[in-house]
Amino acid sequence: MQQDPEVRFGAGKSFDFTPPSGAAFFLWIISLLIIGAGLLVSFIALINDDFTGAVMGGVFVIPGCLLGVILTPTRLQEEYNKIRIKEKPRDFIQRSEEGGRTGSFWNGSYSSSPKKDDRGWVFQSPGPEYWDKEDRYGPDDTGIISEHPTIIGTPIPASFSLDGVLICIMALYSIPITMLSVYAGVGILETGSDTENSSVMACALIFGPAIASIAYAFIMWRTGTKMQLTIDIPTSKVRSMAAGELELVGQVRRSSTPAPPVQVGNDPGRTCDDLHAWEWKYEIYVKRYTVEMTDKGPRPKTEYKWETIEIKEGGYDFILHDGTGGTLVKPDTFKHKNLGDYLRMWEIDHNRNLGEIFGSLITTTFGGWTILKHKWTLWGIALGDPCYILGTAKSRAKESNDSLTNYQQTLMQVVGESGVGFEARFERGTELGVLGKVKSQVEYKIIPGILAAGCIIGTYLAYANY
Amino acid sequence: MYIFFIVKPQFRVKIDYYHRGRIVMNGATIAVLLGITIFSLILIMWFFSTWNRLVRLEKDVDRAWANVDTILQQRFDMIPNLVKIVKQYAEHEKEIFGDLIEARKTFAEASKGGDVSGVMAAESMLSQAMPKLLALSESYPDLKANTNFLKLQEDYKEIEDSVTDQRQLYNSSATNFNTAIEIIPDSIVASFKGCQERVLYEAEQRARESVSIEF
Repeated sequence: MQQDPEVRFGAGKSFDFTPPSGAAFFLWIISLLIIGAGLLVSFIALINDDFTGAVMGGVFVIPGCLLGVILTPTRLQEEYNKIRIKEKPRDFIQRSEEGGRTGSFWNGSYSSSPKKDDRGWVFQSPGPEYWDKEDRYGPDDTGIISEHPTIIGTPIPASFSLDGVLICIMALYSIPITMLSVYAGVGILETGSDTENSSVMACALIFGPAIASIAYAFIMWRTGTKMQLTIDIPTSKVRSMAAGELELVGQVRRSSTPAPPVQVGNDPGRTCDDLHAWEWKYEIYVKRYTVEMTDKGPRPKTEYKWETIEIKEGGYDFILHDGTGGTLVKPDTFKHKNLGDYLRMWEIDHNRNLGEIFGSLITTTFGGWTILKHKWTLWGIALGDPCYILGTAKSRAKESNDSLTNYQQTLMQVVGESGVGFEARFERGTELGVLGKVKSQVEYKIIPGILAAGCIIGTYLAYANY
Repeated sequence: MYIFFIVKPQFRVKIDYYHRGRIVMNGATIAVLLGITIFSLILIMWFFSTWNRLVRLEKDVDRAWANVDTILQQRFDMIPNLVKIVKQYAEHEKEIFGDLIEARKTFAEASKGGDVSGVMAAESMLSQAMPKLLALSESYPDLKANTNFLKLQEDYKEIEDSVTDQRQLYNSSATNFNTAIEIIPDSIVASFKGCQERVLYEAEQRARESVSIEF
């Protein structure tokens, strides 16, 4: 049974400086040292009017900044981890006990599931023993869930974070480093090497920085807009939800009938029950051996890659319950879903299993590539999981209401209809999980744009001066 | 206006405005112009996205207020029925009935004009008069046994919960909007748009207490 948490989230700090914990901390320190060394090289070179040296400092600074951005966690994530350790929600305990990799080397088959879940409950949620099996839409005796934003508030990220500083440093170096990259690319082209690899490398060096920075700016803009929507729209309680666009947070519970089992890869051996929204992907790991003809003679080359063969997704209606009441949700109507980290992954070596069973029939190649491994990955939202919804509440068809009690929310259902400036979304996790990875508010729109501008100008200047 | 843009091997650009003369720029100047253009584009995109965000936030506040108004209307609409039933048993309690009818009248006037302060005043009047009316059931056992009265009491409690929820939702929307129009740099766009701060719907202590009435 949940208790009223003492923690309250609200306005973020002005600056978020959160170092990672564990082994990542040492790598993070190394990244900061690399950045510091690069900046020092540039500074000394600038004092001596050596502009080439100043640019060379950037060769250290850029990778250091990228590493730093990847490794720096958010303050919110760190706080959640502390609360989870203290509160010990049941899914947190279950994952830490049952997660991990199991399998047999001799069979070459493995199954794995993550040991932690950033989208799981942060506070204790009501377990199945507290769910009313008869009155599914009615309020819980335990009251509203602890993790509801009306109880703990909406976590607002800091205004600025270390990520912002690192991206600003990258933006400073963007013009000279992009120019250097373009010169290197043109240099490769001018050496006259006509192999496929060198052309790809040259193109990547010439256009890569500009294209990557534009893509980064676009992704950050989209992410920032989504984050803003989550912060801006207050969460409704289910018992008093009104028709129209709304934000809901709650727990996934069964409606009238259980969800049909999901067979991953259509194999009964990989069946999962009680998934109300799911997606699985089937991939194969392939190898190719080629001989490339170069000016210096033939060059053997072995390539490996994962190839996606099949992706399937589905959903089954469920009740979203926040403790004050439940309402019907139609997950299939949502175009944008985020099911978080994978639930389970199965891997099978091709030669030791399928290859042996089917012999030469299966050991054939895939478009000229030799199959080495098969992998199935499953994502999903199961019974009892936390769920975040930005959707539209619409009236429910009368015939499906017949068996329902007289709660106001049973007259409605939540569907994934978007409106002007409102993109319907369905995510695994509560508002805490959804905003957990958001580092700061400012660095989503302006700073990546400046970085992209720097890279475009750098490309242009390099081309102009060449 | 005719502009032609030629990139020569030595990288020089010529711009001809109505054949009035030639402006020759080098790569660095173009890069600066390019930078200014890209930065301006980012600023324009930010301006419009912030404008649209403020429009959305304003609509959210209006919608939240409309929900509050609807639920309050439902609650005030219960008053005539409650008064009618209670009058059968306690006709002489005219002061309480008068206060309730006055509260309903104040609400109707304030609601018509979307006056949050007026609605808050009506709520305050109701929250003072309602407990007195409900307490009458203690003095009149026949009233306490009246099934219609009990049903109305039950409905009143349910609506009270909804009023609290909708008030909370309205206040969250209004706070989000008020914050958005005050923080820099969004406040610049807000001043262009002429956004006005929204009044928060704060229940008086007495009104809060009324939620916890035991029936």
